Amino acid sequence: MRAAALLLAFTTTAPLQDEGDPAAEARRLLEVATEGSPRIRTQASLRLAAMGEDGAAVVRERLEAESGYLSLGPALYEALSAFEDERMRVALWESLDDVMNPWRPAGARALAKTAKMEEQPRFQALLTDRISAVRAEAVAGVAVGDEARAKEALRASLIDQNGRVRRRAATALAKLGEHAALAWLIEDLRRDDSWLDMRLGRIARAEAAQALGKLLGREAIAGYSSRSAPDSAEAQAKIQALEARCRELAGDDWPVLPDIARAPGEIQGEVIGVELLSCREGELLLRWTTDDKLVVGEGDTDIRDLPEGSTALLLERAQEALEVLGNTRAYGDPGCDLERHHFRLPGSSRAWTIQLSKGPEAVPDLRPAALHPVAEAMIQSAGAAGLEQGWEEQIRRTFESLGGPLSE
Amino acid sequence: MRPVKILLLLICSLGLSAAAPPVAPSAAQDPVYELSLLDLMSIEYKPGQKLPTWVRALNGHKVRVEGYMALGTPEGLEKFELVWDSCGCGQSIVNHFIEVTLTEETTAFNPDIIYVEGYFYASEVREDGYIVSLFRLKAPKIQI
Repeated sequence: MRAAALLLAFTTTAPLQDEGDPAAEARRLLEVATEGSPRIRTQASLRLAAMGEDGAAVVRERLEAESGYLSLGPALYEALSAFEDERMRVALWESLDDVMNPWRPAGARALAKTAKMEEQPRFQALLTDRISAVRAEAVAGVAVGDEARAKEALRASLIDQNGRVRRRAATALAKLGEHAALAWLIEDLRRDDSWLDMRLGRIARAEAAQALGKLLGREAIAGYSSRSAPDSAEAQAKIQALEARCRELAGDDWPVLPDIARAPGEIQGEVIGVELLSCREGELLLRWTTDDKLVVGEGDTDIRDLPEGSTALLLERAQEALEVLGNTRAYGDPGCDLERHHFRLPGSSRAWTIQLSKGPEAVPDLRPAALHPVAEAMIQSAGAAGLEQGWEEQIRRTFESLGGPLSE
Repeated sequence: MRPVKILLLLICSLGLSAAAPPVAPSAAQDPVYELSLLDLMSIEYKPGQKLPTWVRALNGHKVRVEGYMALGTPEGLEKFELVWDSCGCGQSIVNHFIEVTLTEETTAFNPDIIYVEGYFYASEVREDGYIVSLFRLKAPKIQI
């Protein structure tokens, strides 16, 4: 229904331009949807979907070509679920099994928006996907199916490593009447953590407030601002009032939160970080602190001791690299494969970011040679942190899937 | 009652959480409201329909927004798209970016979190039957 409403909205604002020849109009829209300005590709894609069989026919042609769904571009790919043609939906599901698919989060989102009861097991499988954005989108699809099964699956996502996945699972559970899950959202209102310069706590507060507003009604969050620090008197008073309301709804079920869901404390002395976001290998977030700690993931639940001098060595490597790189900050073309290095050098309050990005195709020399020693040092340092077997190899694989092979 | 106070009352009375923008006034004459891209993205936007009252209330006012330059922003342009995440994956959805026009400098891609402060405008801009922008901001320069 939502897809149909959206389609109606778009089609009523812009009539078809070539009504006399639907096939020509479909081809024109296909071109805009795949080659036009990124800003209008989604609109063109939805208009194509609204054309019915004429629109579907030109898209099917593309899907049957050698490069298949990859020839559609991200906007039309995500719009596949808006077509009435069931084959489009099948293509979307199949594309999620492709490890080279750079748009898996968009595919999961598209499918979840129009989820069918019988697809619940498939969405449930996505809850353990290696990419957090896919897991987050899958939550909505799981919630559409059998209620008991949905609740069981979503409870497991309440301890996901990713905050957004936990928030979405908590929201979905609360919608299904499991009000104890509201505790996760209340706790997120207390977050004020950051990951170097990324204020994850503030994002968590904003998303939790939006979710609570939808669940409890706008009036329930009146006067609360996610921009206020959670330890300010006004924010504390509002959070307490919200918590009282949620506890009332939950009755005796108010839970003790697992460590992963607790508002993280501040990580002192974080000076180096790397975000490795790979379509194929998944995600790794690593930070190093001045007192030789390795912080794995978003929060503060996984902190490992490193040999003395580990971070100093990394900083040295980083400084050497930055001298070579100068002011060049970004390498590659836009895409959702990202390798982002963050260096907070002595005397600087903000981190200096170097970003490598690419689409699905391998780019063997994407990482500038000057960054190779930094990446090697990161792999060795993290490998020394006493994590499970295969950990160092996993980090290396992820690095290489992004910036290309490391030099010998 | 002064217009700014009326605006503040209007925004506060709507009871918006992350969307409630009142923040301390800037050194300049006009007050600056902090605006979040996440709030703009949360709007259930449909072409042709009125934007929420709190967004319209900010129209023409000075705001400060944090975000990222969209990936692939070329050098030397007056305009760029401000998106909320570093991968800039939301560029194809019109309520997921702000079109920023710089008046005192041109673009040089920066992968850090950036801030822009300037006058905010919210309305549909159409070209050839498509909506090409919903949110715009005119700022002298990027703040780091």
